[in-house]
Amino acid sequence: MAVTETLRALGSWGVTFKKGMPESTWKELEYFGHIAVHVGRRPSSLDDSLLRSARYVGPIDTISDHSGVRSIGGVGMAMWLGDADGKGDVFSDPLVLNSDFATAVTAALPPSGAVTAGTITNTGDNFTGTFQFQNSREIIDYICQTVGEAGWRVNGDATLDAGPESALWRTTPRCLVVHKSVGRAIAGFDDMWLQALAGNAETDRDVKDYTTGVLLLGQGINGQFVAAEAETPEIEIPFKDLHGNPVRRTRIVQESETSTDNAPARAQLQLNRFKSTRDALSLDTSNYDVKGTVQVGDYLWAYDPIMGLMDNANEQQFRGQRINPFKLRLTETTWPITRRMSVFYRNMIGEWFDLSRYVVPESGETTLVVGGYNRSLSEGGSGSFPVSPPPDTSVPDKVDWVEPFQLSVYQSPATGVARSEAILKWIEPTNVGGSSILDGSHYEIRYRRATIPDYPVTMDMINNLGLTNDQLTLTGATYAHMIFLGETEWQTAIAPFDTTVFRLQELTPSMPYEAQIRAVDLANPSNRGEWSDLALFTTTRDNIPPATPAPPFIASNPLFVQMTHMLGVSSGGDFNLDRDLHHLELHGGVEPLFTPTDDTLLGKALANYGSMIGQIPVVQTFSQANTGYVYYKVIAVDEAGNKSLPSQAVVQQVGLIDDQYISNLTASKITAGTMDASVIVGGRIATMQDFDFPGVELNAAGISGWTTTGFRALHWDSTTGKLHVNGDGGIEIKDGALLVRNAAGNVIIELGECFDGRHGLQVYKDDGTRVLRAGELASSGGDGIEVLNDGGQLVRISALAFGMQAQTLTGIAATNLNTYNGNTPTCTVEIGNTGRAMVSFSCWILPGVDGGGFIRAASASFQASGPGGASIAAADAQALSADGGNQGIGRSYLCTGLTPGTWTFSMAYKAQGTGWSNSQFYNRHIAVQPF
Amino acid sequence: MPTPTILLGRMRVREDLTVAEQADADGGRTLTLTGQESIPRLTAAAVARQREDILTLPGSFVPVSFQVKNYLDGFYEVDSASGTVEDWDDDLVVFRWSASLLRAGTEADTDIESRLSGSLTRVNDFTITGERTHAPAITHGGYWSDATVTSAVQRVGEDGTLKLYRGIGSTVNPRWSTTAAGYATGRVRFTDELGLERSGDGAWLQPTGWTLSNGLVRVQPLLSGGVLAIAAYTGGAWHVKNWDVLGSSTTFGVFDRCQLLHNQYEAVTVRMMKMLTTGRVYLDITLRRGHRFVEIYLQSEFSQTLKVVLASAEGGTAGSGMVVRTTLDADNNKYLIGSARSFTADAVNGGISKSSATALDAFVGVVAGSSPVTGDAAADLQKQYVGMPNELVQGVRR
Repeated sequence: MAVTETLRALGSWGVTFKKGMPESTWKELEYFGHIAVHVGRRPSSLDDSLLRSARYVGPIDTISDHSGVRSIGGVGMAMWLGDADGKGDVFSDPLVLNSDFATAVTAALPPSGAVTAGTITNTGDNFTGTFQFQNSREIIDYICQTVGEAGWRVNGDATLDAGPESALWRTTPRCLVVHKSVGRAIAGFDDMWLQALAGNAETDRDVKDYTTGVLLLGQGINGQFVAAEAETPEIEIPFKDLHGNPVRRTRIVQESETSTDNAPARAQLQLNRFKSTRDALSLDTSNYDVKGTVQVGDYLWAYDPIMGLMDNANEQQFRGQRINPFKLRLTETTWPITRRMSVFYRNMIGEWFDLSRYVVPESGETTLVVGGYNRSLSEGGSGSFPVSPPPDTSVPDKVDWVEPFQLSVYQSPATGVARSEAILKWIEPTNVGGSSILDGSHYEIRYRRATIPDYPVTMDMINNLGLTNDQLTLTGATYAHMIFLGETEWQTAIAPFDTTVFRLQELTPSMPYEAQIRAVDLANPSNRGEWSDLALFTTTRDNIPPATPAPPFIASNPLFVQMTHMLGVSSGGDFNLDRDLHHLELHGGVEPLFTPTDDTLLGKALANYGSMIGQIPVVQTFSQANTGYVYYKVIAVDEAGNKSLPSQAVVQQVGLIDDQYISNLTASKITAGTMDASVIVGGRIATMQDFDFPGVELNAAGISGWTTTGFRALHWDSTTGKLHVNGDGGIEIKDGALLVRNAAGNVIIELGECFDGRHGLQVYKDDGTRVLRAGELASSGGDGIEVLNDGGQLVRISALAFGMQAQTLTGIAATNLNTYNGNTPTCTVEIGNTGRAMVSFSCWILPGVDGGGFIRAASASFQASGPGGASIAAADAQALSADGGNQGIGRSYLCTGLTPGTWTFSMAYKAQGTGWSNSQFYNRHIAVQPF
Repeated sequence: MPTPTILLGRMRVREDLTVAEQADADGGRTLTLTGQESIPRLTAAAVARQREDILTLPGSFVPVSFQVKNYLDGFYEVDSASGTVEDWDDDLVVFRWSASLLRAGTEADTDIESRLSGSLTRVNDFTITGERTHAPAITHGGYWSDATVTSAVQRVGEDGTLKLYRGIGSTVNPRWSTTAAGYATGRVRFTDELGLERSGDGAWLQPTGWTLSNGLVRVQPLLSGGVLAIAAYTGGAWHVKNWDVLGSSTTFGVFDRCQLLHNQYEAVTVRMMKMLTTGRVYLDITLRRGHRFVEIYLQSEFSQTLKVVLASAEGGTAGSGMVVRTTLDADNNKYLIGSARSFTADAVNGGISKSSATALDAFVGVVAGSSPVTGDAAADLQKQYVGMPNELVQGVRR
């Protein structure tokens, strides 16, 4: 018996021993001990490192002795995750997974620790699912399939590697399997990068499992079925039936562990498995140890152009030929345990034994199965229990109502308003065809306001609504026909299936309604019966009167009575009357036990829920001519017109009319000593009765003031808005200007926007001749001041020069140079547009002595610098000079043509000759006057 | 009277007086041939080499022609072969052989089916769409292609006029009729250093002195001045150009090993191996019946710049996927070299190269004349290379 390794399955192995095997060694062999098959002779050390270095490791599950021929056998290490029968460390409690791939796989490892985590590489996918009653192998295999292109393997040391296929196996083929018909040129030879396995290769292609669609049935929560479909597009189906239609083969797959979320992906996964032909190559090769070249799970190239096992998408150059091989996966190998191999046994306490010398060596060939899959794995279905398709195709029959319904009205605890209710009744239906409904789920009731009242509108109802005939006509109604109501949306209510009565609440009173019902069963998807016939009913009108109100507070006079009510009930409290309150009625009678009637009604006061929410007392005044004792009662009336019992009576006698009862007053004469009204409205208010000389008068024309001689000296004209001050001369303020006139009425002063349109100040002589204008000198601008004398001579300052500056320094300045130097004292001024300044400067000069002892001359001048580099150089023409003796001298100098702006003036000095004794300058002073 | 012979495939062997025949209930016919090859009809070396070729016959589809028993002519599949060698150190070398042949049929009732496989267009970097072409033996008739053939080009070679059918459907396996003797006409032949045409693929070969020819193109290894001498048969004569094969700008020179990877009438692939200080280089040379270019596939174990270039510079023009001589040469031809994958053109010297590569595919041929016929232009040859199918031959009952 050889070793068979199978992808995603357990595989098997078997070893037969020679006769003559020592009994002590045979006795050492125990179930669940492990054998390790090693290529070559015994390694230097015999320890657990063999578990990873051996070609194969498997546990023992069979020990037999047939007529002296002893043998052992077992399966692959995957058994420790769960065997072929589903036995293993089964998760009896739900294992809920919602994590990344590595975490999910790790969580699915056997809780017993039979297999521990090896190298588990994340795929980048998240997995969500719940498993129960399944072993680790089934769960991990399911996870790997669901996330796609992932796999797992159990290593010889019982660790699990899992992750993307590329992390576990060779996904870029280095091996080529070809059918022998391709010829010796390929089969059995190597090329630079590819190895073609030698031997007899057989191609196996069929469509036994070919599938065009998958209907996957999973088990959802609460016993619900989950169904998902995946279909191959018709254009991708290459096969046709006798009539030329695309072949249709739908596979039904049951997976109890598949949730709603995973169902579509699982359906597509199953379709992907079967939507192509089954393409497989099996190769028998004399190479007993191909594991170094290729191992189960690796991808390799398979090529058989005769059988059509080729894929033009792949191109490989191999031994001079361009081939287009199929990329398939090595799914199974079977290889003999030859004499070139060693077999070791590890017992359950970790002791190792060399069995090689006792093993009967095998001959035969290694068989590789490429691209095939185990049909037992492909039957569809997985999980701990089978999923049955929905068995119930029966549909509930139409439900019949039991009419009339019981109707009533109640006060809603939620809103306090009156609502109606209807108790609906019906007869439990059967399925269509008469069978009993065994899987009933619920009843679905829908209702809405009926568009057609079940009885015509009456004149009484019209009166209650307060509608006019014209208003009714607008609704489409006529005197002889019913009023049609607008259509409303269906409302839905659910009733359990085990009842035939349902209380429909929160209905509007006095309103026609219509309702339908149908039965729904537990099928998935649910089977829903036909809607029942419409049931029409009109809800009961509101007939619940409001609670008895508390007595009112009354104030009265000979003309009126004023009611104040806090909207409380008679038992106590404020603002606690019924929420559907509409108004209060006040009744008055001459004795306390009077019965309120229309004759005693004094009036109605609006009072509703809004008043109570806002805690606004009702205050209302009613006409009342009775001056004797009067008893008052209040009745509450709701929106439906229901009236409460009358309140207790309160009594009130007429007194004087208080201020608060005067709302309007007309009097021919008011003699009161003080008037403190904030507003007095009248056509004319004057301080004197005389209409010709009223003193101060306020009237529609404005405000005027008269002198005692009857001259109106002051007048504010409400029409023009002008204020006139008249008399001997006066002041007039008109549009933007203040005018001062002399007695002759001539303007003496204009301030503001003057008559000539200029803004500023203008001054005139009595005869009206202007002598001064300040501000705008021309209508287009040009600010300044101009003065005109009687001779018509004009002095105008059109651009201002500002400030006179001066500086005095008593200290000495000395020089023995015959060029001007020095720059003190100094002063800075603003030169106006005139460009003129008067410079005055002075000093004491002590001239220096020359080499011959003679006193020579010395000079002081000034210099200036202005904006933009403008300057005045110190020069003799503008200098002071002392020649031959000490002098105190000064002069003024008119500078013109200066650039407007900031100028700095300073003094400068020089001696007559250079190199002589210093000439000295004391008490130096400079003053500059721009003008 | 000279000893009668049998043409067994491409080998001429002595015809024995007796031939055993056996028929089965399924209509199968088995022929058992026996013979003896010896000096002096053959040299001692020839006897030894024919021994190799006979023993590689099993599995082959071969035409057989008898000089005497020509009623046995037909197409056969060799089931098994065996032999006994008796060698007296050149004085007496005898090889007694026996072969069991399964009859596929005769020319009267059998078609030759050429199973063409592979994608219509090999992967290429120049958006070229390949053209499926096929050339049967010179002596053929009734070429059936499911009415997909669009045209044919006739090429005059050393063996006669070959006909290359063009535009064959990508899923069609053409069938054609010929005689046993005619099947060999226009074939690709590999001749070893002794001038013996070899018919097996298991022979021990010398790396130099051999010749590979299809009558239109001839390839021979060089001892110096390049690696391959590639000749084109145009205008009734062979015109040779020497081509160099380089790795990292250094010629590989004379290769060390030679073997036949594939040796059939319709195509022959020769593999040359160069043993480097570290690693190896393979040079696969494929020649197909009726084609005007040789296919080269150069592989290096370690990545380097691989180049195929004329040993003596001849200016060319680089086009899309190929380099063609700019002007006609003295033989009224233009050389042509190209590749399916991207390369660096050497238009100055006439060659192509690929840097940092472990493989370089190339086709080398000629554009015959200044106005080549349709099917012989450079672009046509390029399409034929890109669309070149593999061919597997068998006899099918008509």
